[in-house]
Amino acid sequence: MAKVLVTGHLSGIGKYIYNACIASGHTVKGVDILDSTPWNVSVPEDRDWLVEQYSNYDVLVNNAYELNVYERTCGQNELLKLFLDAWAGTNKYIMSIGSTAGLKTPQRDLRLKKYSLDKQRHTKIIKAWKKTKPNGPNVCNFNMGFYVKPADEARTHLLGDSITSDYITQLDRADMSDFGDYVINILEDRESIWVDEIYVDLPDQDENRAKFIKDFGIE
Amino acid sequence: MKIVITGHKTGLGEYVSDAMVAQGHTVNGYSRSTGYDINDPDVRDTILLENLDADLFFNNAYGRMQNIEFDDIPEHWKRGENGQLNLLKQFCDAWKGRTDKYILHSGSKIVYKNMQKSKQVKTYRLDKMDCTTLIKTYIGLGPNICDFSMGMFDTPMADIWPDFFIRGEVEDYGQQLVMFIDNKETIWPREAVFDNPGRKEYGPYEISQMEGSL
Repeated sequence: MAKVLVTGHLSGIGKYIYNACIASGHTVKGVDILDSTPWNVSVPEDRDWLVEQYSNYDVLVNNAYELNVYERTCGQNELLKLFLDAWAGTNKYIMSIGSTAGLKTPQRDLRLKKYSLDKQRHTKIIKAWKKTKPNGPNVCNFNMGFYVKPADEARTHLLGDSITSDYITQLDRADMSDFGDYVINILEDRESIWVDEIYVDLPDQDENRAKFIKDFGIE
Repeated sequence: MKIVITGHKTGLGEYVSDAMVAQGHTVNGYSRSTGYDINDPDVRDTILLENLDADLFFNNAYGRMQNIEFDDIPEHWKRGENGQLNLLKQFCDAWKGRTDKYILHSGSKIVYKNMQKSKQVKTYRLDKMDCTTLIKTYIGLGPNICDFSMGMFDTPMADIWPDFFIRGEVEDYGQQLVMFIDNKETIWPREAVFDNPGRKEYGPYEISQMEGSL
């Protein structure tokens, strides 16, 4: 059994992974901005505290993301860099949640553009790390398309109550559990096979994407 | 479901073929050992025409590495006839616009690592890179394609490589592919890069050993 740290464990895919890891018998710690003792990925002190407290863990699920159009960086990427440094040369595992949104950059919606750029940066950080320091930790860049949250969860507030957010809810999207099951499968098999990078989405999604790209001026 | 698999008599192709048959699917397998060399244009045409109505194509056979010793003069490795690439393109063209079709392509993680000092490895890498490049040009055109890049695992084709390369297990990679196929109607990976944990990028030691031996 492993010690697993999950950021953003109280909603969405973070919650799904957190619960699945507990069900599998792992020792799991979750941190979340919605927790009774809030932990905010965007606050440098909170990130530093997390590395100090849990660098002895085996697996990090780097899931929490907060959109901030006024900062060039984002908390999720900064936390990733901290753990890459802290776990350099080890055989630990980082499951870092990216997005297929990072493949193309929308130009017409500032929030979506920033989100896309953050996820592009996320991929670049991982690739650069592997190129210069290839001997660990094991990092999975898990990129997924839009998904539908369970009915009992609040609608995503990532992009706020915006036209873009409304538009996305009209798209065909995968079930969150489908992505979550992939993540769990990767984590459970981690000692025999590991995924460095994966892009997953609905099948036939490309037609959807083509419309999305056209409507949002993605370049 | 009707599935066509190249290289179905050994290694990963055999694993996936057996798993799909066990699930009750119809598998059309083509291997060099059964008379189908994908480097032969006529053979490729036959495979395509016999399987235009298939649901999924597992483009697994590589075709250029059989029976080649690691230290051989690489005459067999000349660029030009890349059977796996050509067959991939034929299926991509034939199934263009068909989003109900699926192609799983056996790629290699070596695409992401430059090994210029080994002519054999360089050729292998270039062949796999050509496939990866081709796949990118077909994204969004239908069918659903997955570029499944793998590290080294224990298969007859890997015998030509020096022993110091750590091999993964066929079953581990095969199980991932079977999972992709089983879930294909709800979720599909367009690109996946797998490897054995704990030995990233073939490892500096392995690269130095291999290049020092050439």
